[in-house]
Amino acid sequence: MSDTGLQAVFFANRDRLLRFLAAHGAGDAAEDILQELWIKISTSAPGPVAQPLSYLYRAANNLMLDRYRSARQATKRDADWSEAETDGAGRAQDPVGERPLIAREHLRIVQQELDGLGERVAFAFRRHRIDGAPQKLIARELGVSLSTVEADLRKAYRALIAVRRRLDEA
Amino acid sequence: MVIKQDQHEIEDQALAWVVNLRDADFADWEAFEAWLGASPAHAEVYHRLALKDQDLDDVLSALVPAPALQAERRANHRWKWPAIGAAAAILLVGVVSVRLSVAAPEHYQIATRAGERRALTLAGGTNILLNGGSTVTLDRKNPRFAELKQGEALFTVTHDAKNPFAVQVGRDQLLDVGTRFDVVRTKSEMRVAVAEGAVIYNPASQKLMLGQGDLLRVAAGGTVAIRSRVAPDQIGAWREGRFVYSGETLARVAEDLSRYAGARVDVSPDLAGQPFRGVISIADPSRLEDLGPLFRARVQRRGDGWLILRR
Repeated sequence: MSDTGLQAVFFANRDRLLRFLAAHGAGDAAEDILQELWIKISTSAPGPVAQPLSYLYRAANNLMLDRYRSARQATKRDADWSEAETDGAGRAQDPVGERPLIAREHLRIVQQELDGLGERVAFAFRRHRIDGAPQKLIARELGVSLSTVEADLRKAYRALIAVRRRLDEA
Repeated sequence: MVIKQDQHEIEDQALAWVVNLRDADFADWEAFEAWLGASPAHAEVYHRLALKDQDLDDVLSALVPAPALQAERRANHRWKWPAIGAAAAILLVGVVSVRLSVAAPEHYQIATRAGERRALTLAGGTNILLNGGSTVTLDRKNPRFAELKQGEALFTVTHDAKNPFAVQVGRDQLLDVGTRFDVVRTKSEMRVAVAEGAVIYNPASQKLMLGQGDLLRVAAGGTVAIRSRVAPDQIGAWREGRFVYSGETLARVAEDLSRYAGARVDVSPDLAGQPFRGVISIADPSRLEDLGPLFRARVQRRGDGWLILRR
């Protein structure tokens, strides 16, 4: 699939992508975001894409998440403009000197949380979130059903997202 | 349609979408859209959880990959190669693999059987697409190193000038100065083709800089390297079952097909040296006989594999 192929798929599925953005709550901005998506795919050649429609959906999803992140950051800045600096992605940045120390501490907390979930859950999470292995493969590796892996992963993601939230609020 | 939902239930569903969307082969976008659109609260909760999930990257980047103890092969089902996106958020799908223990504890091997493909993501964002019948050694302590023991791998490297990514291939070393390159190691030779950016071949000795579209072939055990040109967008086309040739021998074509299709492909000796030009697109690796006319030859089943012979 060439880049022009991706662009053709974009045009053929313009309405579907608009509906998807609307479902995300894009509202009046949906057309603008679609335009942004178009510029993205026509300026940065992503290389061969095997599932072009899925690729476009994912890119649209990421754009919505980026927007949501910026909006949240803006709200947060308005609420407390003197708070910590943020990097380009809008993630909180700690003063340089403290970063390694904080990172090590965070890693320790995350590791502890993972270990506490049990070996199978921790294994499934690492395979999925860090190695990028799909759930079907993890199910085969563990010799358990897909729904067990799904439940394990929900449990692990929920626990780690909660950890992240605690760390952010600390 | 549910009018009023308990917040906990929405969170549960949103979490399931966050998890499922992380599968590189996720394709159920319409169901996701229907769920998102069912209530503004759905999108709200999904966005919140998905961002928190993204934020986990910072703390997870320092974690080592899953321990090898349980990652044994349990089935031989073949996976369809999924969409590979450039976006960093897109992780890659894996195929069945066998992890072997090697001498150094920090080193571990990942191998694919013929016809299997596997994508690996290393810390720092480097992706390795391992073709069938290939083995790569990785270092838990050093995510900027890989050794291709055999077979073929497509490397997409996040460049870091201070800490370049090194690929060892036999006695040769490749140092990335850019992003995407394909490496093949067979018994007879090593080939590297640069799709994007640049690579330095043997930085300690020859220091040969390969740019976009350069193809370097080095005979095994030899010191002679041959550089030629290849269309950059054709490099790594094997991940889509596409192979592009401009005069390579049928023996070489058969070698690529064997790796990809998961079955041994041989060429009768009288055809082995015949040059082939053209593009092969494999939709169904179990129907290689369809390729016969393309080779102006016959491709017939022989045992578990295939034989290319004169018509």
